[in-house]
Amino acid sequence: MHIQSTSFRTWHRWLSLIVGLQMLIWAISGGYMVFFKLPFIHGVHLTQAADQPIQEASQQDQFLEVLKRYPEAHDVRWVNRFVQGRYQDLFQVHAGDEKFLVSPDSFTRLELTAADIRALAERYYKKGEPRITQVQLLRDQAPTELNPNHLPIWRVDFDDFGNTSLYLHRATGEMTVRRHDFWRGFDIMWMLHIMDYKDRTDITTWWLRAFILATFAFTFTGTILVLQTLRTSKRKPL
Amino acid sequence: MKFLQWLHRWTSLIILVQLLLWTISGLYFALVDHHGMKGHQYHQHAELEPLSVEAFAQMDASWWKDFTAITSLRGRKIEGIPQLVIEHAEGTSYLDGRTGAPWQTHQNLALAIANSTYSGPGAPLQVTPVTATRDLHGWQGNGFRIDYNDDLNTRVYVDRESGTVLDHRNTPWVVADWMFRLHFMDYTGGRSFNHVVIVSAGILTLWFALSGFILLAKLLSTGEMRINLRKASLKVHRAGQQHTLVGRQQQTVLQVLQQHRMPIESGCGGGGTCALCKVKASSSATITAAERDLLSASELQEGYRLACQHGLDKLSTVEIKALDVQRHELKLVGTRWLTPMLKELRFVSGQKPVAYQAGQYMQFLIPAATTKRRAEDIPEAFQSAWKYMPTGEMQHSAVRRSYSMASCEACVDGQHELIFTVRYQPPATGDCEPGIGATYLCSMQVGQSIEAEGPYGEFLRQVESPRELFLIGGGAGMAPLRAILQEELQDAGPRHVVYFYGARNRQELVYHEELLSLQRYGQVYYVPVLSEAQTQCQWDGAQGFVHEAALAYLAEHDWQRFDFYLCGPPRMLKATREMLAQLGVAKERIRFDDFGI
Repeated sequence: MHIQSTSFRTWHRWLSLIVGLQMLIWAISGGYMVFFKLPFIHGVHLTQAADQPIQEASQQDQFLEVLKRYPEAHDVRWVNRFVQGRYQDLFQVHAGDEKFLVSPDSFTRLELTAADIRALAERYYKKGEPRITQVQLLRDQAPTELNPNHLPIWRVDFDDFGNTSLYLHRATGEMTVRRHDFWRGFDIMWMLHIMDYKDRTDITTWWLRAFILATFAFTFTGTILVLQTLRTSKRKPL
Repeated sequence: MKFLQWLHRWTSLIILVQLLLWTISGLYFALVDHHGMKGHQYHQHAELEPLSVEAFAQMDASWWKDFTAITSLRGRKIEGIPQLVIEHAEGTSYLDGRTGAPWQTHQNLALAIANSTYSGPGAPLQVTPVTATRDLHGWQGNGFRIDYNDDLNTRVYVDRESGTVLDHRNTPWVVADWMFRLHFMDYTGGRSFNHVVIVSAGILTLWFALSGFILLAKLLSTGEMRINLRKASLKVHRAGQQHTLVGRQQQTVLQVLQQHRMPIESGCGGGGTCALCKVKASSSATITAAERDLLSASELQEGYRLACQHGLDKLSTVEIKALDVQRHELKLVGTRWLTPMLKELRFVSGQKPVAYQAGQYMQFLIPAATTKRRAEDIPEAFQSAWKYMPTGEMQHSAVRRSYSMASCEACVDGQHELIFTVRYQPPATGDCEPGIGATYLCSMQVGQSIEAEGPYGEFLRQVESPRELFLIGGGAGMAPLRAILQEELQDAGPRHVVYFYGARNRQELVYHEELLSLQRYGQVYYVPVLSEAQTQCQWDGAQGFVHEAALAYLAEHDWQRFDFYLCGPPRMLKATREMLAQLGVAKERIRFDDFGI
C-alpha cells in the first residue's frame, strides 16, 4: 500500500537539492518586497514639488510668442521655477524628442548649470537639511540603477540615511528619478526573484522557467507526502 | 530534527495551496512576459501635432483669472483641438483652447481619441459611457469605453474631463490581472503586495523554506543523499527462510523491501516518524536520531533498527517479521450487544484461518456505502441510551479501520472465529455524523462479508518475562487485553494476572460476569473501576479513574513484580503512562496499544 510513498520522498529530496536554495531565495526576496511599502521604495517620501505659482499669468502674449518662435513644439508649459538664483516664470517647451526651458525675456533656450541643479535639488529634497555631496551630469554612462533611456541626466547625491540620489532632467531640471538604498536593495531582490542577474528585466529566461517547473514538481511531491502522512494517522477509537 | 520535520509538515499544510498558486502564476509571468500582460498589444502612441499660434490665437488671461496659485499652464492638442491644462491650488482643470470653456469630450471625439492610440486589426464596435469599471482599479469619473471587434476583445477607456486615454484593456490583460491577484494575494484588483495577508504568508513561507533547507542540510551532512547507482544486495531473513534482494546502493532497506513486495509495516513513507518499519539488524549498526527517539534502549541494544533509516550500503542483512498481512474475506456469523454502545461481532475467515497472536488487530476495509445510522437489533434494555442518537441513513466513503481481536486464537470454539468489539461512535461535538467504521460494522447483518487485512500489531505478551502481568484497560481497550489474558491462561504455567478495568458506569462493564468468574477461580485479580457510578445502582467496588485506582494498589504492592499492558482511550492511556513513569517503571516493562491518533 505504501510502495509509492518512498519514491515520492526520494524525488522530493532530490528536487530539494536542485530548487531548495532558489526557493529560499524566492522567500527571502519576496519577503523583502512585501515588507517594504512600494511608495517608500519608489522614494515618494524623499521629494516634494518645488515649482512656485506663476507670477505674471496675465501675459498670454508671451505664451503665443513662444508658439511662434518654436513652431514644431507640441507641448508648451508655463511654469515658475528656481533658475539662475531666483524663482522666475519660464516656458518649458517640448518639441520632437527635445524638452527645454525658454526665458520669457529673450525667448531663447536656457541652459541649466550645475549650480542651478544643486539649487533645484535642495528644493525638491524633503528629508530635512539637504547635504549634497555631488552634482554631476551623466552623459553616456548610466549606473545600473538608472534606465539608460534617461541619459543625459543630472545626478545629485545626498549624504543621508539611505544615500539618496535624485536624477533631474538635463535641460528642464524636472524631478525624474529617485533612488535610495532601499530601492537598491529592492532591485537586488527583484533580480534574485526573476533570476535575471544581468539586466534585471528579463522574466522569461529558460532557467527561470525550468526552476519554476521543478518547483512545481517539488511542491507536488511534497503535497503527496503530507497527504500520505495525514492519511496514515489511522487508528480510530474502537 | 523530528520536531523540525513535524513543523515543516504542518507549515506546509497551511501554505501549500498558496505555494502552488505562486508557482502557477509565476510560470505564467515567465511564459507571457511583460508585453503580454499590459493590455497594450494593439496600443500605439498618438501622433504628436505641433501647436500653432492660430489654434491658440483666442487665448485670453481672463479664462484662468479665477484660479489661484497656478503652478503650471500647459498647451497641447487633442485630435487637432487646442487644450489648456491648468494646475492650480484646487487641482487640475482642462479648458478648450478655442473658447476657454471647460473641456468637453463628446462621444465622437472620444472615439477619435481612442482610434488614435489603437493599432490593431479591429474596428470600433460601440462607445459606452462609464463611470467606474473593474478594468480600471480605483478609477472613478466620467469616461467612455470603446470596444473593438478584434481577436483580443480590446477596449479603450477615454477620460471625459481631460480627453485622454486612460488605458487599453483586453482579454490577456484580464488573465494577467487574475494571475496578479493570485501572486499578490490581493483579490481587490489593486495589485498591492504590501497588505497584511501577503506579509504573513511571506513570513510563513520564509520559515517554511528555511526549515526545509535546514532539513536538507542535515540530510546532506549525514551522507544520506549520495548518488550511487551501483547495485547492492540485501539478505532478508524471514520465518527461517533467507531471501536475497537486489537494489541500488543508495536505496533504503525499506524501499528495497517494498519494491520486492516483502510485507512490512510503514506509516509515514520512510520519514522516520512512525516507527513501524522495524527490522532486526545487528547491535553494531549505526543508530540514527530518529531511532534514538522512537525505539527503546533495549530494542536498540538487541539490534532493532528502522528500515527507512539505512541504505543498502549500511545494512546488508536484516531479519524481518513474517507478516501475514493478507486480505481475508470475513463473514459475520454472530453478534450481540454487550453494553448500550458496544457490540460484539464474530467473524469466520472465508478461505484459510487467520493466524494471529493476542493483542493484534485487523484492518477492516469499510467500503463506500449508504448505511443506516443506527443498528436494527439494539436490545430493549439499551434502547434508552439510543434515544437521542441520529436515525436515517448516511452516505460515506471507503475507510480503513483497525480493530483488535477480543479473544485469543486458541480460546475460541468452533471454526477459528475472530471476535471483535465495536464501539458505536456518536457524532462528536460539531460533527453531524457518527463514526463511519463503527456504524457500518454495527449495521452488518449475519451472513454478510467484509474484507479485512492483517493481522497487524506489536502489542503482544512478553512470553519470556518472568514477571506477572498487570493489565490496565478502559472502555474499548478491553478487546486486546481480554485476548492477552485468555492467551496467558492457556499457557502451561500461567503467570498471575492483575487486571484493572475502567468504565463509566455499571452498564458499560464489558465481559464483567466472565471476568468475575475467572476471579473466582483465582486466576486473575480483577478490579473494575467506575468513573461515573450512578447513585441508584448498587456498586461497592472501586470508583474514580482507573489509573488512580491502579496507583493506589501499586503503592501497597511491589510493582517490580509486574510487566504492564495498557490499552484504552487516549486520555486514559496518557494519564496511566504518566503515572507509571512517575512511579519509576522502566519503559521496557510497559507495553501499550494506542488506538488514538
